[in-house]
Amino acid sequence: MSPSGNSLVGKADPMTDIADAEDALISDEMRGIEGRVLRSRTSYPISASDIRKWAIAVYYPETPPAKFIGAGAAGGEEPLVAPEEFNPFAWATPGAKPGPADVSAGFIENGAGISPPQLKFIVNGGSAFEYGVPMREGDVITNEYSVKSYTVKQGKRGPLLMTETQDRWINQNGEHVRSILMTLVRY
Amino acid sequence: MPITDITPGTEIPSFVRQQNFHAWNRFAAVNDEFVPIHMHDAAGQAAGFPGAIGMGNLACSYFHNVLRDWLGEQGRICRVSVQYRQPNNQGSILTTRGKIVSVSQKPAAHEVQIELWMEDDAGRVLMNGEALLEVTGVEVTGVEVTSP
Repeated sequence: MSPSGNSLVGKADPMTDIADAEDALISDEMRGIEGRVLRSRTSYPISASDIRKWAIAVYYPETPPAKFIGAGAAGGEEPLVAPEEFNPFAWATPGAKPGPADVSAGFIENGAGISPPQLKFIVNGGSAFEYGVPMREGDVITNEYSVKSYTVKQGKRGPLLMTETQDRWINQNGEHVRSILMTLVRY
Repeated sequence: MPITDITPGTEIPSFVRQQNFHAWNRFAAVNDEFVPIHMHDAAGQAAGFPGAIGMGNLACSYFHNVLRDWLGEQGRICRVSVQYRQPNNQGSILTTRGKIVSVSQKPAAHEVQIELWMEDDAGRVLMNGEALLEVTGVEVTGVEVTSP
């Protein structure tokens, strides 16, 4: 051992650790889906009730702004406008059999028909949203979802698999509604 | 209340919510997000947390709420980014705050950059982020200003 006690003998090289973890966690199949559109869904027409319920949930226990809970087009008023972060794909989409959502840590790869990494937990690391035209009552939204990249970082509890996903949404007129870059952290 | 001040350095009104299963279950119901770590303390503990944790997506809505409540009908949200630093726990009181960082004059609106963060009642910062808004109907002098 060196006098300073800083000898690297017997210590792991962090770069090697990361490279090993990448080899272990990111398979060739996973590399093969990077950049590919994995899923495209089209929503049912957004209902006023969908918008009201979303707004009530995200403002709970206070009352949401009146613009989200009015009568809407069905009640003879202007169509309701949805909160920007509203999700029109929750629960059911045309042509897809409603069923339990895959909430496992491997949901991306399961959906792509490939083997997921052997990790148990998944948390949301961060997101970036870019907004175009608003979503309104009656709109039909179509998305294209892809994995942008897989990388590995060292975390406190061991290697973390970082998965960056991209989701682009347009409405029935082909107008850009929203783009989302999301970082999922798995361990 | 109409926006009258978009001076860089100004804080916008905060948005405060307590976290509990009443709030989480309502959000799970509208977003179909019945993920075990948000539903059961045991699942949260198995993932290394003190108990069940709140949804990142709901906290992200709070980032939007603080912006919407300030904006009213005076503009629109163009971009929002969110970084999750720590999870929020049951019973915690979350305060979402925003501060104007810079303002640019555009032909039809002011582009306002806002720094966002969320803290709990223990003083922990749980989320950071930023937003870009278009704000209309506010008179300011100068065309481009940036917070020191």
